Amino acid sequence: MNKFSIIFIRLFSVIVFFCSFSLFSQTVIVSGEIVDVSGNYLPGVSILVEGTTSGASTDFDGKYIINIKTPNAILIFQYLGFETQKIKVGNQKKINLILKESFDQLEEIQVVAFSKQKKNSVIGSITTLKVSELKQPTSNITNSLAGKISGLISYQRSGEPGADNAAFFIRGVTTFGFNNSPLILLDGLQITTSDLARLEPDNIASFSIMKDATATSLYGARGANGVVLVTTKIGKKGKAKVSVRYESSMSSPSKINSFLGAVDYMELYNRAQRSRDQSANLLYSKQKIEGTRNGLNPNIYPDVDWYSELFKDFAVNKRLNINISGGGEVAQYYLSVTNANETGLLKVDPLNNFNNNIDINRSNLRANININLTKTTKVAAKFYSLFERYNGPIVGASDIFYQVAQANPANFPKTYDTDDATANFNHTLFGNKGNGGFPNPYAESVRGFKDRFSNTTLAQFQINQDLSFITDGLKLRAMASVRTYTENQNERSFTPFYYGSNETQTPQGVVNSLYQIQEGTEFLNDPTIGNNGNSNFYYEAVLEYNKTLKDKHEFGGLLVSYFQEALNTIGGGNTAFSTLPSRNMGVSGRASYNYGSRYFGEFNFGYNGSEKFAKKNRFGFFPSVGFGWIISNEAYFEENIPSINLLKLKYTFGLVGNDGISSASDRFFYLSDVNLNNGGTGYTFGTNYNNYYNGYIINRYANENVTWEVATKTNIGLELGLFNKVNIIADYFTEQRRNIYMERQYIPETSGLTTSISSNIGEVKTQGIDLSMDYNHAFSGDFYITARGNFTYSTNKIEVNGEPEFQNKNLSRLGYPVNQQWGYIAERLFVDQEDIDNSPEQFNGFSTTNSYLPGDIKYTDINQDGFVNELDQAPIGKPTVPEIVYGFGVSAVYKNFDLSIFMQGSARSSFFINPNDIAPFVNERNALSIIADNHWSENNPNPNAFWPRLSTYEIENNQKPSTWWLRDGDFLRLKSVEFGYTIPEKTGRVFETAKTRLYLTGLNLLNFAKFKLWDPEMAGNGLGYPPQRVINIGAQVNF
Amino acid sequence: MNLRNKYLAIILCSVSLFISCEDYLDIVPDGTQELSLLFNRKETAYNALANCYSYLPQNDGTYASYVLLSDELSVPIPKEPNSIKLMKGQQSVSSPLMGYWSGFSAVGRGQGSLWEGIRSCNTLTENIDLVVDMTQEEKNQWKAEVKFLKAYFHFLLVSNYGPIPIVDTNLSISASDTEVRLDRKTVDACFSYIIETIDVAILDLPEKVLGNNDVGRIDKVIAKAIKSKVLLYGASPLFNGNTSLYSNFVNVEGEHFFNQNYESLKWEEAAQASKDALDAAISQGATMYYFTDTAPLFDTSNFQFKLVRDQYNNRFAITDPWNSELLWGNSSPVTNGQYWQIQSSAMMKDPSSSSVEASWQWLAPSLRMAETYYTKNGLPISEDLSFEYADRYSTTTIAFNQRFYAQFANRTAKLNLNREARFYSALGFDRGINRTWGSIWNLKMRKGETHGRVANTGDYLVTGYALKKLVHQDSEGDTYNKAITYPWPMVRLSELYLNYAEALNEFSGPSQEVYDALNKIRERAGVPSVQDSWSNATFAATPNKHTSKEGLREIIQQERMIELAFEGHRYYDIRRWKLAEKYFTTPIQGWSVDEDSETNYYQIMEVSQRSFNSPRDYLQPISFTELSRNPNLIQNPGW
Repeated sequence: MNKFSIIFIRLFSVIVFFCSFSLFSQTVIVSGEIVDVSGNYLPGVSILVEGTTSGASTDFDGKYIINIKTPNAILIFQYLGFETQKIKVGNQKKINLILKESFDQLEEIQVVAFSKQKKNSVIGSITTLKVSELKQPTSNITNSLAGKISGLISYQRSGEPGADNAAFFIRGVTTFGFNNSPLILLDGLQITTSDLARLEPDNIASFSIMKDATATSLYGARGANGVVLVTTKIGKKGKAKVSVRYESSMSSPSKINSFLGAVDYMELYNRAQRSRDQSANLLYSKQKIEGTRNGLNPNIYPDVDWYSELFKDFAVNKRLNINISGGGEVAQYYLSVTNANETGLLKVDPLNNFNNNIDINRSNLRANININLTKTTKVAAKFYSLFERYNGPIVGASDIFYQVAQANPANFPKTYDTDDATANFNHTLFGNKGNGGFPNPYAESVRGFKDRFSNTTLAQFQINQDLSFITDGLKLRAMASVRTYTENQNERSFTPFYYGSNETQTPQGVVNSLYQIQEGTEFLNDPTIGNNGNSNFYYEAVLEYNKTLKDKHEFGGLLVSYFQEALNTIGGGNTAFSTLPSRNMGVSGRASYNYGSRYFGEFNFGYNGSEKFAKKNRFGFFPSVGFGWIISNEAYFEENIPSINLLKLKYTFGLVGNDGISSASDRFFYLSDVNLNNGGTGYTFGTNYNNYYNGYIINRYANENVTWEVATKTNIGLELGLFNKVNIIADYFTEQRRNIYMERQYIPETSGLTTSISSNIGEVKTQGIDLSMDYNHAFSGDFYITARGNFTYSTNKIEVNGEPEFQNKNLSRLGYPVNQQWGYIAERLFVDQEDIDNSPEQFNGFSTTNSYLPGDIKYTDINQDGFVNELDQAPIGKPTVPEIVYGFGVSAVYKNFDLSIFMQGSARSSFFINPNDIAPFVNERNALSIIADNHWSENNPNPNAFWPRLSTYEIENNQKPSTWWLRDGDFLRLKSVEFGYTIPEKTGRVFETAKTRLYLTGLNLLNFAKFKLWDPEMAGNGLGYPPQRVINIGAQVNF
Repeated sequence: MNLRNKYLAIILCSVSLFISCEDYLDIVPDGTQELSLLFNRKETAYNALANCYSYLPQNDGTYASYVLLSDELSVPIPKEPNSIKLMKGQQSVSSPLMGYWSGFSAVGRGQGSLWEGIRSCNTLTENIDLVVDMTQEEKNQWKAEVKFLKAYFHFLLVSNYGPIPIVDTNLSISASDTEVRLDRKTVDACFSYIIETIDVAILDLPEKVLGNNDVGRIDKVIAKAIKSKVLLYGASPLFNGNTSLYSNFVNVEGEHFFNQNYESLKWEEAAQASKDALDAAISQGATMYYFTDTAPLFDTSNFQFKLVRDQYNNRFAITDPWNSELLWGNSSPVTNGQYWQIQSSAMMKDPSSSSVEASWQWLAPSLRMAETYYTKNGLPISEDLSFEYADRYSTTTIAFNQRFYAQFANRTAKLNLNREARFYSALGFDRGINRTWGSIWNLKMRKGETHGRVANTGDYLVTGYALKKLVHQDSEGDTYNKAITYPWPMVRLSELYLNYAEALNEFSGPSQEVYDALNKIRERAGVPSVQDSWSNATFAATPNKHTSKEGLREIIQQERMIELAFEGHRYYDIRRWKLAEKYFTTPIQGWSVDEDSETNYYQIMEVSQRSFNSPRDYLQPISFTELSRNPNLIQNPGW
């Protein structure tokens, strides 16, 4: 908006004001200010009096004045990209408003498959996330999805930087086939989850998930698991806009496992020995325990808290994003540059000059350019390059966390202080004992580093041609995209020198002398080098037609044709098939019609071909239909029920496919996979046993009939808007997934097959609901509140899975969820020997060395055959993937302050604690404090103690997956809190129109769960790198 | 068509043009490995043939061998292979041991599922006609070979599981779940199928496989010999009129899996088949083995004595490669240098070396086997009046005339003295001798002695007996490749004589033909003829036992247990005779090998348990998984 127009508007308002005043004395003057959610004044908002043509618009400072004739008048506030609001004037003289950005930001336009549609005409089930919701102080946007989008089931098991992608499934896991993840498209091009994770939220224009058949069937054989569709921002005509955001955050584990100190450890170890063998020689002498208790020489009496030796309290991460957009008539641009630095929690050995901590540096550049070649021809180029440098420990950081749980505090210090003999050595004396072989996590952590650089480049060229010279409303678009990824990794490490300590009794007391256990290297060994790379190519042409006849009949048509190819140049495996490219091609189309914005009908189809299948099965057709009815647009409804501003019913039904039925090396099902020269199955003839012939082995039998999975999806939806304040979207969905490629386990061995036969036999039925609700209310111009919540429930059951006919029905998976776990039913701990003698024999326990004693777990003999064995496993607990994921939050803006709080929860999931990981004392493993506090012993024969009878070796009986170790994975957490302050322009003016917002964010601050041992979201991975609690400070400047 | 429509048509066409280039999705290069390529040329088709043979059991691989599946041998507990575990009663339905049905893995080389073997045979039959560079005659011969193998695999399954499904042609990969659920056929149907299939195969098989490169492949002699064995099994009490064990074992139609009417005619068929096989073998030059080489230097002077020559005849009958008695040898043996060959486990250690890599000496014959061999008079030890049976565990001084098998003037148990040559060629014992490594070893086998258990080593002979029979006399164990490899005997001529004698006696009772057949074996063994031994009231406790059918049956059974000892027959013979309760329920016994004094060493000790749960253990179990895959299979009784 140039200066002239501003002056003009002001002048015009003044004229209007005076005119109206003088001419109609009974008129009312209403004035006010219009701002957006962040408090920016909005210039040029149009204000219309409903039912008339009179109106006004806001000036450059967002102020307006309007004359109305009657207090009953209703004002309509409209602004491009914002939600329209209607306000009844009544007695108000001053109406201040906060306009909320509309969800799609593009004048009620919704992104749909290959195109955009007017939001109200969309029948498919698509959820679009407000981009600001993706902004979290992490470098991984997959971490911020859980609970934010209705229809998405998501969880994050690890907090390790660079390896912390959350798993997410659209409407849950709906198949037990190979690929159960959604298709992710960035500006139409397929990308990986990791690519998605690294996207900058600042650059995203829209983030949508497509859930039902109508929304996804155009993607044909790629869409059955749902689609995530992300588009990036493009430049808009106007003066250059610059936005700078800087964040710095501290992250620390959400919860740390608590282990025993050395004295407690040794005492309990000795007790554990005696608890199974009365005459065992105790490992730790009284003298050693007392020495440790008194804090004597730490070389002999170590008491190592491995966790704090290895890890810092927090890590510091920084992120900077700058983006610039603008443009003129001919060309518009959007440029963005980002740099992020993320570090891990590992400490670095002072003797090393290299860094073994995780240190990730990411920079990316995005340039989106649009050019109007002619009035009808536009071209666009998009370019994105991400360069990542990773530095980290030689073993995964999660492994180091895991190792902390393996090393005990009493055996040896992390390093020995040098003595006379070793004083001049130029290497660290890593601790160990005996003949070595005990884990020293510190040595593992600092003995080397991994250095990796990788580059992801996406380039896209697009041409849009308006074909209205052929017929009005016809457009053609063509696009070519490429994505390449390369990675180069070096691993460098030295071999650690391990020392042990010998204790000798002298008149002066116990003296220790060091001895070398393992000769290491003082130099870094030759690096191990790994390369990897792959490329995707994608071409698409879209013909689109939109036409409205007589203002009532709206027609839409779409025809898409595309090719896709993925190349694995390096690192794609070495089997005959895995290195061949994968290809996909197809034609998709849509025909839509609506009458008077009330009755909607839509037909979509995808016709897809995939290289994986036999010619006759190579192409598949996936149609869908949808119907919608906006009841609130009916004349009688608008008149009679004004409080309901939107009521829309939707129904869709259709087929979608999934061709990701197996790994890259298991494709081309029409071919057998045979080794024609197999050494293991040959035979020798001849008197000298030298006439040898190889045999052959069939690794896969050819099966022409293998084809894709087909999902039949049904969706019934309701959209409801109340009082212009509350919006509710509810969907009920069902999905029948058929043709799941899986092993036909029922094929008997009499068939003589050398490998199992897989075919499309599996079936899973899924159903559930998605619910989202939001509420917006502006109390006055200064105070605006938004509340929103969403809820996803998805449950499934296996209907056909090719399993044999089990005589014991408890083994059958039919009717149970895909991620249901099987295990034994633990009743309690055995009370005494008599109890054992009167119970069924467990796992051949009486006859072999796998014996068990009172205090070990007693299981139920389900089939009552007198033995507890693998036939007695039953479905236990809930599935591993949560069936419910939900989130709710509230944000409020008051003057220059804003606050938002978001809670996220997950329910109906279970996991096993893996007793093999935490069984204390086995191989002198560390002991969790909870085990010391709560275990069975002769003195405390609690049949329900957390830990069974102690042992210093593995007790097979107690390690079976069972209800004993099953835990509830439900939790509710305070996911984020953000408090912001926008510096008023007059004081914060760096540039003339700069607007600066400062904010403080907290992530994962509180957790409510039944399970207390570790963060329940980690599930069975509790000894790994925990999810992080982050405190973040940030600043955003726009000018 | 106006211009506008033309544009539209062009655009629509070009958009949908994409779909027409279907070649875009054809990305697999030609010539990736496909099964059909195997049958292009003869050279590659050999792989398909070899594949069928590869499923033949591997009795010379210690850990996969059925030889250990009996009461003949015992091993130190930590080394127990699955075969011994099975004999100790550890067989289970959830993961069956030693099952031909599923195949099994074992140290060295395991055993492929015989159903896979059958499928491999059918695959060759279906495809061999595609080969371009073979004559029809060759193709027919190959088909006949795999037809025989298919029948043999079925036979092995029947002898382990009883009634089985018959798979004569391969099911399609896309066969439905009901099609793949085959039924078990009655044992009669199984035996008929096997015999018919062998009969058809015989038509196209060569009379005798000649040529150094082909030995080991199937010929008429082999097929006829196996036919004799199949019919013998089919006529035996386990499979013929078995009312005592299987009167309730019926299929869904109520039909008995095991026929309930004893048919003596089956013995006649078996006798006839054995006669045919003998005729065929002899016409192709097979003879009982006699050692004809020059005696090694250390025995040159001893060779004038029959007892020495008899020991050579018996020991080399097994280990002399491709000798005249061998009708079917496994041409794909475990070659020397592999520690898991049965010869390595049996071979004794060099007394002069403290540690010998390639020989382990831990496969120990049981005391029962030592007692099974005849006395020098060709009679069982309990039936020879000249043998101090009651006093057999007491020791005595070895006399000068016993020097060819024991150490003169030393002391050993009476049990070890005055026995037949086969005893001395098969077993090593304390104060006995062992011809091996180019010399004669004087065996000293008490604790701490050169051939005894040193300290608490894991490799030792738990019974105090060593197994010589399976070790070539010239094999040496000090490096991996000095053992002499020999083809494992799958059928020897002596087995045919034993088959014939047994079948004929069962059908028509004692006769000169039965005696003649037995005497072929006794002659080579170096003992008097059946008639001479048993008619002589000076020695025989039950004179003329051989003249009754029952008496002769016992004689034939014992002859078989001696002659075919340690060759993998006993487990099957004892079961088909329904004598398992007698033999497989009592513990393995041996001398007290952890004792160093004579008095203490010669105490009998139990070294290993044996368990046989009748009727359950007469048949192997079908695994739990297989039963759930195919509910039509009916589990064997007791499992």
